[in-house]
Amino acid sequence: MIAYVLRRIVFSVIVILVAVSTIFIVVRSLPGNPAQLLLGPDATPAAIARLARQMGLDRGIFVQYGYFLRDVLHLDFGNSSQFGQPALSIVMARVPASLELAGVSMTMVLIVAFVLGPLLAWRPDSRLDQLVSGALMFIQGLPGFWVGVILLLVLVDNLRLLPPGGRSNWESFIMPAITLGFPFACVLARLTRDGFVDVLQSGYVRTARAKGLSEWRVLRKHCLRNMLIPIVTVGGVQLGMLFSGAAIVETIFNWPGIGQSLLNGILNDDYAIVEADIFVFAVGFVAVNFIVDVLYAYIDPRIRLGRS
Amino acid sequence: MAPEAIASDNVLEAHNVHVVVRDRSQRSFLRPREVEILAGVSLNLGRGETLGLLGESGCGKTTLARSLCGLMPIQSGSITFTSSLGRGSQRPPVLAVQMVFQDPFGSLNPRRRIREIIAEGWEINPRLVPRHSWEDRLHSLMRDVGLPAEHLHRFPAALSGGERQRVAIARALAVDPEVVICDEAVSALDASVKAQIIELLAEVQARTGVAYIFISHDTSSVRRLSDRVAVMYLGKIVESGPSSSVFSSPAHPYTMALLAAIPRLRPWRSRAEQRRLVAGEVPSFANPPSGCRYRTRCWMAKEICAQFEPPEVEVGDGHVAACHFATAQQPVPANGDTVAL
Amino acid sequence: MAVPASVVITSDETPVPVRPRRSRVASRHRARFWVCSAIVLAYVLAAIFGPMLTHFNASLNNVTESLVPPLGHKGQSGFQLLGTDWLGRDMFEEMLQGARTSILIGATTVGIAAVVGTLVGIVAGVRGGVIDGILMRLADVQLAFPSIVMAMLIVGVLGVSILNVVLSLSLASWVVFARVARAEAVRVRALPFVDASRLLGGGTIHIMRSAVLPACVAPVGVYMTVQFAFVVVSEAALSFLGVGVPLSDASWGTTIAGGEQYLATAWWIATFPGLALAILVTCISIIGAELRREIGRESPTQTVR
Repeated sequence: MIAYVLRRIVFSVIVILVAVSTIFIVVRSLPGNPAQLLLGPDATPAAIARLARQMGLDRGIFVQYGYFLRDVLHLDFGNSSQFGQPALSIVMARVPASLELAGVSMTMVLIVAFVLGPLLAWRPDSRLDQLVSGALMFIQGLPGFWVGVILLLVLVDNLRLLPPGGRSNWESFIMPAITLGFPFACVLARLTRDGFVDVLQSGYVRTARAKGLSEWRVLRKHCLRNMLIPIVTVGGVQLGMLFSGAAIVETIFNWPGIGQSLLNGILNDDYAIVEADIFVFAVGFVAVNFIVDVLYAYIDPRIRLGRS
Repeated sequence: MAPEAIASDNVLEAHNVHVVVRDRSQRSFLRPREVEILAGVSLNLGRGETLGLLGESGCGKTTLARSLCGLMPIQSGSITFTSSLGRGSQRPPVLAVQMVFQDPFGSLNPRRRIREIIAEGWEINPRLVPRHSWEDRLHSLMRDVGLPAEHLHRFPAALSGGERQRVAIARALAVDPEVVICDEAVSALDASVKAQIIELLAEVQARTGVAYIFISHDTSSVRRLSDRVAVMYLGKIVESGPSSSVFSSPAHPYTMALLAAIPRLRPWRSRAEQRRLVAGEVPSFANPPSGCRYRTRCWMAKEICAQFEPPEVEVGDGHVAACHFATAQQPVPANGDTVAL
Repeated sequence: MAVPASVVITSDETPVPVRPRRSRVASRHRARFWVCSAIVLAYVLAAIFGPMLTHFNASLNNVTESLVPPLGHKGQSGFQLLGTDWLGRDMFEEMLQGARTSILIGATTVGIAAVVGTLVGIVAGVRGGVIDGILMRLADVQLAFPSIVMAMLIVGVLGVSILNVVLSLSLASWVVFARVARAEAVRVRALPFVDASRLLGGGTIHIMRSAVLPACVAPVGVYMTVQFAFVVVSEAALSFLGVGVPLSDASWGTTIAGGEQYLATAWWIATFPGLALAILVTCISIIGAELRREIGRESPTQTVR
């Protein structure tokens, strides 16, 4: 187990490294002076020259990469060309908003899935079950950004139920959370339904023989593990979707999170913010994946012994 | 069985072959352990004869088969193939040793038609058979293995297990091999089909003079086809000789046990016979018993068996056994009564 | 009308076997498959021929005729099936143009990703060893990071264009195919008929071509449908955000983005393209699911007899 955890840590660090290096490559491949690009159009020639020396632009590309990595290690991404403040602190200030949204979204997802799942499993393959499962499949495939727009259309413009955007009262959480989490909710609902169907079907046979409490224990231990495996697998993938969905949802609903700042940075050529944002994204994503992987390995021993 | 084949020279010879595999499931993190599968195997296959290879599952028979045809590299020792054709023959030597595999479902490419499967050797080596004679040769091969020509354009999924093995045999014969290794070729088939395929193999040998190495864990099939027989245990050959001699007078306790385990008409067994039945599981290759490898399951085992590897004792004409206690010609009575040792 | 799963004896005493339940379920699946395929085909045809027939004018700026609701009338041009957008452009024509853009990008991206990914996967699976290790680690790392974010970055920084969208989405997609192809290669490599090929003198290339590649076609094909849906939706999302296709090319994403401002007054601009997307994606998912069922049933080891 420890060997597995160590392997995952090393892997996570490599991923962050690759993500950060990708920005380096992309930004440096642009035409023009990288120092100027980072400082923006209003920068003075003196400031540009100073930054250029700091970045090692007069030296070779590998030296520049070295300086870049050094800066990353010191968590120094430079100043934002839009706001003039250190990029990382700007991005970090927005992290709580994104985390809140993710938290609310995940809570909704879990509630929906663990209520709908067992409900559907009660009468599997009934008309209702088929209808709802089919609907879930359809909903799952809908493009996220469009659902967000439609929600705005219906709930804000027509029914005037919810605020139009931005992070304010608790009501303002509803639409973004739904938009962010609905695919995951659909998938999880169907998975828990399947899992519960298995449990109930085997549970029926056991309780029919009325063996007593110990049977339930065995059932729970055995079935719980098997049910958790696909859930954690899919959960890991879907959590990734949460991160990529953040940019979209935050833009539609004007939510002050790291997704919105990333997009704004890209659209406004603020490369310092882009670097800082990608870094935060990478760390967050990798951390979440790491936890999921360790959980997964704990549940399914086969993973520990096989390929990392 | 082959006609009176005078084993004038050997088409295939193996001398003291050692084969090692890397076992990744062993615990060592950085360096996967090396496990020796074949620990010094020697055998000869005469031209046109059938050598039976008998042994339990997991004793290394398949590894030996794969080494003999070149699919698996050997660590030490030598494997020599002597072609009957002169130098400058068109056929590359690798085609001379062919194999028929155990699994009739996995041994044919499910996405190719039968004609393409059989002709694969010609497709890879276009100089062997000119294109215009493919059709004729395909038809004659199908006749040789007893399949209707209609099957040629079909896919393997449309054929039964026995039919697929016939196709596999046809594929092997298509390149005019001198040796065909049958690795449990009939083990996956029903009893009646099994008998048909064995007859087919015998008939092909009579017609073409090809040599077989017939590998099986089933003694009756081996008995039917083999001129000579070798018995294998845990990576070593424990007994070998003419099949008549080995089957009637087994000299190695393992062979005796294998033969005694054949279900007989009289279901009850004498005590002696029960003692001889092989008990327990095969020990692992990674940790073979010291001295004689069979000693952990042998009823005759004494101290000397743990200390020294048994020498090859000649117990008959060309019949050797690797046992400290092997003596010449102790015929085992057919009804399994106690034999004075 | 419930049909009993029993035998119905007709007047002349010949038993007429009634179709058992299993094949009814199977024909439902087949119907689903064909209906969805027909819909997708309609989309593709519309994408190819639609813009040819209707002449979408991207740079139209006719404010007087803008924001006409569906089934309304627009000045001299007459009946508008889906209304007009904020620049007076016909929504129907705009949708057809968007279909062309999206499907073109989808097909090109999946084509590139599938070819490159399958090649890499086959080589990694058959050769094994160091090459396999490196390639798969690379794939792992890439899969570990959300592809949309990376695509946003690449397009956003390198510039908004169809080429960059295809490039970045191909980069995001090839890994899936490499994984699938490698798994197939590893599985097939161990089968006896590959050994037989080697004994017949077959080299690595021959085995890749005759054994591995045909086995990859089915699973790769299934994933092509899945990835196509993913690419189409991703392109729309990227374009919606402004880091996808340039505004001059009418993609469904850009149309929805434009329509977002007019949600209160002209709801149709943002709704229809999304609806079209949703239907296309659902149909492709169903096709993919049905294909996967077929593949699962037709395993090479199954016999008829």
